[in-house]
Amino acid sequence: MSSLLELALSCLRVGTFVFGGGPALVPLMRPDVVVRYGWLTSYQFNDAVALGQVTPGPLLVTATFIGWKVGFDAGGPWAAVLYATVATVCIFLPSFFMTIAASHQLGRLRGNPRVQQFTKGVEAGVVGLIAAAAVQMARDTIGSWPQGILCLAALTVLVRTKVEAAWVIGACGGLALLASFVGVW
Amino acid sequence: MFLSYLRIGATGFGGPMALVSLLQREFVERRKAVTSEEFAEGVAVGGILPGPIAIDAAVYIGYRLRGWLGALSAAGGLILPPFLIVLVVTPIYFWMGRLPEFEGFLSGVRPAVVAVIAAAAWRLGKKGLTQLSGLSIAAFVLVASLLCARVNDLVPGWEWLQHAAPTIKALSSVALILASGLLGLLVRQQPKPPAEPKEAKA
Repeated sequence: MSSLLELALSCLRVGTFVFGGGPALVPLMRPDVVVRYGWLTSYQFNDAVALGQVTPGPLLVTATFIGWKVGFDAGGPWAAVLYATVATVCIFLPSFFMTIAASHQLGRLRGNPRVQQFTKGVEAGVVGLIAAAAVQMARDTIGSWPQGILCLAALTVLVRTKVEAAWVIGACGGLALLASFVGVW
Repeated sequence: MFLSYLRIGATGFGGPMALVSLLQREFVERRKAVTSEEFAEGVAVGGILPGPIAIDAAVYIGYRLRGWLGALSAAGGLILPPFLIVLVVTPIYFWMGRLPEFEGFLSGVRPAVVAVIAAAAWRLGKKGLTQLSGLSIAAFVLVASLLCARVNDLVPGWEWLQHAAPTIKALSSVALILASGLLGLLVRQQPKPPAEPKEAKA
């Protein structure tokens, strides 16, 4: 049961600090999931983020995947559902309460210059954090030249056009599947 | 209300702003439950607070309209569909992991995910890092975060550093977020942003 507690605390912490939207989940959650507890391999973590991207709704449902895996390893399918539920609730809970608490103080919160400065700083820091996470993911999960080139091509498409992430992910997967059939991968 | 949140949750593909615009269409234009000013306020709250902006905005609207029950149905309705989808797809993923074809597919998916995360940094940076102060904070956090991730290799001789390494790695992101918020406060008072690498490992 201790892994359930670890999972819940980890998700609560991520949920409290996931400023700047979904992608900030990656630098916050990866060290716990991959390094500290070893719940997922870095490949599986990468795939979990992919799943979060191609499903509707926020990227934070990546936590559902992680919870499922931790629970399944701890006690089979029913534990998997329980852990996945706990992970999902815990990751959304902090911002849920903060939003309700903030809705009473909205004027004061938005007008406060200190809050604005703090938020500005955090916004900037999160950019660096997400970039660092991308570097680490690349180092861990890109193992060949074709994969590196594919990554750069995908990045170009994502930055230059408005094609959605889910399509790029699917297209790259399909391309790699084809290439591995032909034998050039 | 729960049902309209459910529908939005099930169809909200394409990132945070797609969800926000679906919410706007439903609650501002179709149901006229909130004015567009109120909606903009909800989105602004979502931008300041942690968590996905659309969920925060939806919870804010739900709470304003129906109190706690509204807030709960907003969060529940938006999260339930993706939650159920992931719950179904995850076992399929682990089951399919045994097939060699699936491994081929994933070997293309993985670099694409790296690109998606890198593109997210690029997009957020282009929008937010318009000033030198912001750029310096981002650069500082980037370097500090990479250093924290390799903290074992920094000074191999230091025994205590090896012991503290797992904790440093696990908490570095939170520490850096708080540090960059504090740097944001400092930057406004002093013309130049101070870089204090020690703060990152506190």
